[in-house]
Amino acid sequence: MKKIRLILFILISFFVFNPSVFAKDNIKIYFFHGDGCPHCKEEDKFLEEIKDKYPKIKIEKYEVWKNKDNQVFMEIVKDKMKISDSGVPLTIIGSTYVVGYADTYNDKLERIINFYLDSNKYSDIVGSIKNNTYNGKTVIDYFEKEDKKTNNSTTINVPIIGKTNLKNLSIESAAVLIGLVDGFNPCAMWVLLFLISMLIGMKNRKRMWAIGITFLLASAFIYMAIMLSWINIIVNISTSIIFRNIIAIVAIIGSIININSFRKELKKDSGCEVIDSKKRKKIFSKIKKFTTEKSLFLALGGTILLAVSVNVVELACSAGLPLIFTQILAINNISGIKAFYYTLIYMFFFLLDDMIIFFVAMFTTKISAISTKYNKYSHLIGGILMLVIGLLLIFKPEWLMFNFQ
Amino acid sequence: MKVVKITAVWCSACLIMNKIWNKVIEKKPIETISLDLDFDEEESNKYTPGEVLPVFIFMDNDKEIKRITGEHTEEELIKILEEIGD
Repeated sequence: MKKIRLILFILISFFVFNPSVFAKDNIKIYFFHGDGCPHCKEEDKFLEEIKDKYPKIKIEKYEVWKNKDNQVFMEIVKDKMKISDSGVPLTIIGSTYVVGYADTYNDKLERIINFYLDSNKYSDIVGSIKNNTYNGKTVIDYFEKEDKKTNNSTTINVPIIGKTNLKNLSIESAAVLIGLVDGFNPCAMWVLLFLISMLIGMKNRKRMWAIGITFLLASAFIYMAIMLSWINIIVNISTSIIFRNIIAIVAIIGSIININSFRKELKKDSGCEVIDSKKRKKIFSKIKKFTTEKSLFLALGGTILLAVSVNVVELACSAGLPLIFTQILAINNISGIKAFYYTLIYMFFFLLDDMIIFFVAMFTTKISAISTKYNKYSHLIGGILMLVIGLLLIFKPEWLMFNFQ
Repeated sequence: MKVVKITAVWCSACLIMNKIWNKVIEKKPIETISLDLDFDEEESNKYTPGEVLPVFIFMDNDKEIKRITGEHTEEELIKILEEIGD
């Protein structure tokens, strides 16, 4: 019996006094979550699933919405590790932390685990904070440093712009492409052309410019406002997988409609579809009113109202493409200022054809127009875009994160 | 033989076809009645313009012989005029 106790004693002492061995094998994942937080539930499920895949990881869960002590502990950890982002779930592995969760994070979380399992850079920061042995040194996030280095291969030198991150560039080019195709479809072009034909007839050039530019800016503003509010809704909508699949199906249906209208347009002559006369008359009387309105203030007010009503219709008419673009931003967890930046790009290219027609008309007092032959191609390209992105949303959402590792 | 042309200021195809039609009648002068769908509503409704603009209605002694809609090339229009002319 003595012998057994002796062997046991040696074994335990071997583990206890040799932390590097201990640290090397076991990686701790600190999972701060809220009871009832949908994203946390999703991540919890994921962590449970990967437990058997990575036997060497230990998961410590801290419920922070109800448990006050855990809440205090999390705040201390965040303070010491200089984590400014707020919200749960908060996942900390070694010196790396991840805030928030979506199924598209799985790849990154596993990369962090593997990074610390393979390298000797793992240090149990939270553990040391817990038993007050934390030395107060600033925390170096080795994973991010490594990730950035490997990610550097994903920055390329674009001739004019210079060194750009491939991921941002991809989202920017998506904004340009989808914005252009979206802007090309003729839903509200007829209102602009009618407005311009009325403006050209005006003697007061300054007022002509004021109304025209107000119309374009108001259109851009309302379209962006709807898109941005839409982004901020779907970025933190709870069961994002289900919601994302719904949007994917909407996109695929949208693509079928678009490709179908392309097929129909192939057969008939390309021309302008006559909008029903009641609707036409209503809008024309509004336009006539404010282009002949005495007070500039009322004229501009009328212009803004018209732009708002027309663009809400236009958004419905082409809702597929902006919807998809916002979903791409959501998948990349982009909201707030960054989303504003990308939507601004989208808007610029969305309004490009309108701006060209407007400025050419204002300078030459002749309305130039883009042949309607191209409308059907905007339906075709829009349809293909929606189909591709719709399918990607379902089968390969991570491709839409443009991570080129 | 005359042609009734129905267009609208808000229709981009009409703007393009107006230019093309001006070139056509330089080569083959023909009496053209231009109507605007909105500003000459009663007049243009007599010809039931239909769903697609512009509309070119070829008339012979006030009887409609042929009608085409949407965008066409100059050559197409001249060919049609020649066919009807003989």
